[in-house]
Amino acid sequence: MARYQKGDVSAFAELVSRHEKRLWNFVRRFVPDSATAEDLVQEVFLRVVRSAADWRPSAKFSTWLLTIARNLCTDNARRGSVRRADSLEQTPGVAGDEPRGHRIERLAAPGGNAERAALDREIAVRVDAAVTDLPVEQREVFLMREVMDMSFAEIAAATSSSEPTVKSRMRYALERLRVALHELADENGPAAVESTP
Amino acid sequence: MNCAQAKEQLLDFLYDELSPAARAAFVEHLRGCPGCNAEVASHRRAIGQARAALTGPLLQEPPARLRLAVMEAAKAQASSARKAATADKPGFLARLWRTPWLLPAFGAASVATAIFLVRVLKNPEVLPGQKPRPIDEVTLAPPPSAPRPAAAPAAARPAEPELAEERPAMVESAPARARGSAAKTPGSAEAIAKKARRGVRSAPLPGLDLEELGSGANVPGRFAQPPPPRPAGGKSLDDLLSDVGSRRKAAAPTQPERQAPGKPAVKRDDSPPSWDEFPAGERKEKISKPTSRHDPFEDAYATPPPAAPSPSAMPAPGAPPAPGARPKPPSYAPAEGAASAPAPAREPPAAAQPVRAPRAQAAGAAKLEASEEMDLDDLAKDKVGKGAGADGPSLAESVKKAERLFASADWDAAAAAYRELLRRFPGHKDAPKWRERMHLSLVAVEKARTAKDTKAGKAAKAKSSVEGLNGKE
Repeated sequence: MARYQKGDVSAFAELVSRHEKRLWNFVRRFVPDSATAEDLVQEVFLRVVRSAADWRPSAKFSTWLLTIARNLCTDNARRGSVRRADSLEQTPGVAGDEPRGHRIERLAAPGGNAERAALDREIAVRVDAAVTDLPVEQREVFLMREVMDMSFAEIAAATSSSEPTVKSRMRYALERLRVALHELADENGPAAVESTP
Repeated sequence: MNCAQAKEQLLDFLYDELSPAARAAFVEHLRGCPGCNAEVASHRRAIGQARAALTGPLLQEPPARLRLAVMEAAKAQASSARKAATADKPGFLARLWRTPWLLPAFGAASVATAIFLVRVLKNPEVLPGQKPRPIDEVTLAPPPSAPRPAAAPAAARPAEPELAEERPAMVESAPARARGSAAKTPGSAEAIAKKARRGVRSAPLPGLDLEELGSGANVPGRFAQPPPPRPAGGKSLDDLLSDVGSRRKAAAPTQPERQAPGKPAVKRDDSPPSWDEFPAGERKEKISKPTSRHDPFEDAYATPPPAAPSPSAMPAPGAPPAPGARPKPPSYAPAEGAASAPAPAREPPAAAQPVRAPRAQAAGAAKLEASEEMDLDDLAKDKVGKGAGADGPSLAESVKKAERLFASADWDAAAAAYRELLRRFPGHKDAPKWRERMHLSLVAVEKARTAKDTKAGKAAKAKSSVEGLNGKE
């Protein structure tokens, strides 16, 4: 970022390639379609460009980036244009309007044991569903922690919350996830769930 | 640790944010608590499955056009930012115009420069750091065309070294002033000294030599009076006096011997009187006189004590006139018997008059000039002291006679009378007036002589031309 402040555009390209994937997956969990997610991610980077002169090395760049993205997502949700992103099969996106089963099949690795592959697909569907069903506060904390690999302190700074609040939200999110996955284990037997990595 | 405390620390344990001691206590509790142990295991499975799904099958790649759009926007933003920075940067004149203090500062500097230029143009000698020098601090030297006597040797004027020693201290020359001002401001001493030198050299006063000022030689005193008015013809009074004396000597080449034969010649005391003999006003004038300049009036003060009037002082009527000598005016008709004994010429003082040699017109001019003062004195005694005793006539008589001579335009006699008065009563309140009248009389004598010489020269020329024509015929 310091290099880009001096006018090095290639440095900004490095920043984009380092953060765009995780940022895309974060934003994609908050908007119903990939087109909106694309606009929001582009707007995040443009705000970074416009505010590059004000950036100080004391702030971690990923934290700053997530703060901008979260604010944009929050504003987008307040405008009422955000539909609840229920599940992969209901979420329009770049991958097209595929039915849930096709998407899961595409996501799950086809190789190996067919039974194991089917279980992985089911787990992914349940995780995706559980994350999408989380409240926004719990979801953003869960995604920041698991997707963006941020510490609880950084999450607290990005969300303008206290660290115990962040941990409490994370605890609730994990409890929901655990319940969802437990149901799956109850349906397929505990051995199937235990065998997952 | 109980189960409630373990439940509080469950999240930190799962994400490894417990301190080692707290982690050890938590593990110890898990070993003894199957319920807590099962809950921890369940959470670990859920986190593992979610992480695997989110970073595996659920991880999406952003569209390629997003990166292109972002980079295009970044480049455009960077270029526009550069353009904006270039456009917003005002030019040199614009920045000068926007500087709030610049215009007042420029105005003040302009006014200061204008004042300085006006001062310098009005008086070029006035430079910063140099006080204006009053014009009377230095005496203007005469133009180079006027002949100047050479510096008198120290032997001729024994009192002069004292004055010469005093003079440099009293005359603060320009370099000395520069040094003084430089000493006051040590930071720019050399600059100020240079400026002072430049100022003096750039506008030198006529006839004023800086080197002479610096050495203190040939410099009139600081409080020197301006030189006496120069008579017509461009000659100074001392020149006139010297000429008068030499002509008179030429007219009377032989003088009666005042000294008895065999006796050593009594040297006239040519040195000026002692310092204490001068009244205060004359001391000042004395100080102001240059060492190398010969003032004829010094001789008037230095005339020897009055001697008995001698008719032999006057030239013999039958004596052949010296070339260039003028006839004596009627009032100076020689006394009877003056031609009877042509006395041998008086011995001139040996080292008294080397300075006057250049002015002499004939070979024996030095000798004649040496006795010039004596002749004048004798003349004055003849004119003034007739019928008086050894001490001469009284003051009233002398004054009356001098005034009568002056009124009757008998310039030569008047000059002698006033000289005698000045000699006898130097501290009299009318001494300045006598001195002025003596000057005027001498000037009148010189004028008359010049007119006569011109007339005689023309007549001789006409005569020679007529004779030449006759010879040709």
